[in-house]
Amino acid sequence: MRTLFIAILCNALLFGGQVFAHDILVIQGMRVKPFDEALQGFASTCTAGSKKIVYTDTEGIDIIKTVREERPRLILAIGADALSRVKMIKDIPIVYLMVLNPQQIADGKNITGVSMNVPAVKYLAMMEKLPLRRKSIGVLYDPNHTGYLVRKAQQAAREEGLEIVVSEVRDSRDVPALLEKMENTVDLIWMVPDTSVVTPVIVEYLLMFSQQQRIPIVTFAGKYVDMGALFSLDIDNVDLGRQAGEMAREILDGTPVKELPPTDARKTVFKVNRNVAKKLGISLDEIGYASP
Amino acid sequence: MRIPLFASLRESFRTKIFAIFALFIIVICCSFTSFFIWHESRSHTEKLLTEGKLLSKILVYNSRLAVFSENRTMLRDVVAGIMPQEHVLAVSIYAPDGRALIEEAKSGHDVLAHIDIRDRIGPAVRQRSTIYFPGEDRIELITPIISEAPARSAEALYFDETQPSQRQSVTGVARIVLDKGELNKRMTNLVAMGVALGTLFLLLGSISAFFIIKGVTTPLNKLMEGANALGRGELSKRIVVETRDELGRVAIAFNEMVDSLERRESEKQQLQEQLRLAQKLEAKEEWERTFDTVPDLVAILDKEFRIVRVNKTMAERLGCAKEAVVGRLCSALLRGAEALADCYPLCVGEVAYSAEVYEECLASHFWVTVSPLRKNDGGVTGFVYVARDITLRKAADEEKKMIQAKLVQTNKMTSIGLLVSGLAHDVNNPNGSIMLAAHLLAKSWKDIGPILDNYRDNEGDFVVGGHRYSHVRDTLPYHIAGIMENSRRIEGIINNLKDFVRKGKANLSLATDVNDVVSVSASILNSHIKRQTNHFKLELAEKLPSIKGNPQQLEQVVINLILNALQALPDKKRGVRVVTSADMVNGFVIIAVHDEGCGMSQEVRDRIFEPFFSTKIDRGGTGLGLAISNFIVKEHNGTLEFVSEPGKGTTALVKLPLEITGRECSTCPDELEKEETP
Repeated sequence: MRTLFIAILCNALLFGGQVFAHDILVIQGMRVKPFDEALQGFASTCTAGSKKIVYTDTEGIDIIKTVREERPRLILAIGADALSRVKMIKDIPIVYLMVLNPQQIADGKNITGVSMNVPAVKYLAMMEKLPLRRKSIGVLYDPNHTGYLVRKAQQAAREEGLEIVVSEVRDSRDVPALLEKMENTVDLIWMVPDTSVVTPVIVEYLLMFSQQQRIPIVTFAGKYVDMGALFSLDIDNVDLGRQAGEMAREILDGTPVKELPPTDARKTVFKVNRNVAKKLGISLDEIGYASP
Repeated sequence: MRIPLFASLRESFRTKIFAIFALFIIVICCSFTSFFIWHESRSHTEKLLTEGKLLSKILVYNSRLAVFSENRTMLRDVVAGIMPQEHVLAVSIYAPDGRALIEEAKSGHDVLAHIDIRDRIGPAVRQRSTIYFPGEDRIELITPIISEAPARSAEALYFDETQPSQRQSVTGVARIVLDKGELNKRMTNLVAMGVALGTLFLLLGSISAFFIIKGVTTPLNKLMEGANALGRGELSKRIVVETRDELGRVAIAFNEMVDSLERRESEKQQLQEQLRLAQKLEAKEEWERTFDTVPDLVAILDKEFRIVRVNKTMAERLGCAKEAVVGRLCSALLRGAEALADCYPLCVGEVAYSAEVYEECLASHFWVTVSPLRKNDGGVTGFVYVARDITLRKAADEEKKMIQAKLVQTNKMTSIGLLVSGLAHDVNNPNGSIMLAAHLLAKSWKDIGPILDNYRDNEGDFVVGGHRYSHVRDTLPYHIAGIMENSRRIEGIINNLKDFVRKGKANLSLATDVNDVVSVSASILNSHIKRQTNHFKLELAEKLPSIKGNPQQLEQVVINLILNALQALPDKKRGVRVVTSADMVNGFVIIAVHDEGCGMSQEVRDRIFEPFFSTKIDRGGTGLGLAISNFIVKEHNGTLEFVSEPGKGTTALVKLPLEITGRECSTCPDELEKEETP
């Protein structure tokens, strides 16, 4: 009897703490490498105990119910899907990651995080160095999707003395026709992360158009640079995670969420396609681009 | 009906192997040609299909945007890039609902009409890959134009990985129609080339196979010839070993086998020879034992009748060793063989010659057979002389003959007995009358004689019965006495006959003077003697001892003998001489009757004592005289013998013992027989 009592006591002492050790509940939208890298960065700065749920792996799971059961001190939502799932929760601080336009998804007082957005100024700063004859930059976008981005960019451009010529894409099929119109009006095409424009066929067409018309394309992800765009300003997934980790640590340490406003990515990764540059007649050394 | 050439070819190993090779080559040729044609056909079809697929891919790839945007100008440019391709007949692109976005065909090819494209689009859309419809002269490839659907979230645009959300969608269908005419033409050329190559290969293969098989089967044929030679028993033949391969080794093994066989054959022959010699030796020994066991006298003679070998019996009979007679003339040893040797050459080459021979030196009769001894080819190498001693058999035969003769004699005697018993009665009665009449006549003459003498004296001589009385007076008493004497003789003969045939007994114990007997007999025959010869002479021994016997019977014997002697004389000049003598040494009195007659042949001599045998049947002979005489002499324990030579006369010798044994002899022939038989 005494033995049984000692065993139960030891068990309670050893494992009892762990039951309540999940300070952070990580909700990951899908199992992709960038998300894992971001979580890795997050974990490097915020070492609090966490439990990860990959949403796509657990089809049909009731996230709200899970959160209620787990009762974490903080929820980390990786990806837009994850954020949209947990945005209903108001009593637990939510930190998001790898979300492009969080404001459009959720706007609660308990929600903060680091968006994927690279500030337009950074792009414009890089574009300025290019030999732009007309100082005009073409942007194809769907106002419903990336209107907020384009508006910010137009505002920033104006401040920089550049013009952004926009073409609103209502249907993907219109892209070729719209591009043709831009042919003689823009020096550069800025590809924004718009799902109506960035389809495999359109990207291909865009890049082909770029080659044919000798109009460089500046894009948002390194993979398009490999396909034929001139350069990109990509986010650093790990650093993004690390940035969010810092926020989470502060929240867990007691800092109110309202004191930690949502921010953009603080670090960007510049990637340039030298072959494309060469074909377009752009000398990178002359314009002062550092080698990637 | 079988053709011999084909039959021989069918039984030829070389032909069979060649046929198998040829068949194999044909099968291989056909298989390879078929496979080659099939493979090339498939390869060309595959190539065409690959080309078509490649073109389809290019078309699809190039037309993705144009199809997506349904930009017909762009589509026309894309299609124009594909159309000039060699095999392309038509190119068309459709929207997923079957609506034609563009249709282009080469001039002269109405390939687009009459086709419900929706039937073909459906499967291609479902399978999301190129499907093709082969036709007689064309291949139609339907390829779906697939585009990836736009990303669901903007974040996804950043990632390299394909997101599950990024599903593909069919935006259109590209159709390319390829011309198979060129392929068919190529296939025709290919089949022609394949057949030509196959035929060439068949020819070359057959020729090569022929020479290879010839090369292989030639040693086999040699081996077979060797085996045949071995089968024929030609053990000396060997196969020439030309190679060191398997066949060469077989040939060496065969030669070694033949060597071994030859050795064995030689050993076998030696053993057989030894066995044959042993058998021969055994057979020879057996033959010699048999040869020596034969009770006949057997001799093997060469062609000159010289003795090569004699058997034990012959050697013993000749009283010398077997080896001692070898090389001697058969005739020198056996006199009887001399005659055989003389007459046998006449029969040489014919059958065996047999004859009965009496060998004086062995004092035996033999039945001799001389047979030619022949070789296998029929040639005579010598003779086999076989002499079987038949002395005992001959004696038995003689005895048998004698018994038969005696049986005949007995039979005759029985007949004579019956005859005589009747005859005696018939003769005795008249003879008694004659005797009585003669007595009366003699008595009458005694009385009549003086009267007639007186009458003659008175009346002179007169004629009585054609003669003068004075002559008749002197002779008549003699005639009367002759009648009486002859009558008595008849009576005596009849009595003798009666004694001979009946069981009557004659008194043989009377003291008899042989000279008297002879004299009386001569006197009785006086008239006969005078008629037959002028030289009759009696030479009677003086002081001849008397014997015991019956004078009358003995007289009859002498009369018979003298009568026979007289009858044998051809004329009166020849004489008869009767001599009596005594052989005191042997105890005989001998009466010899010599005549100078014609003599007797051996045949007559053999039958002389046979009753009723006579050489004078035509002159009144009865054939009983000598039979009775012999019987009488034998009754007296004497012998009657004849010594005769044809043309030189005959001597009859009667030998009578001085003393009769004293026993009364029976007149029964049976008893006589018993008495005579030792």
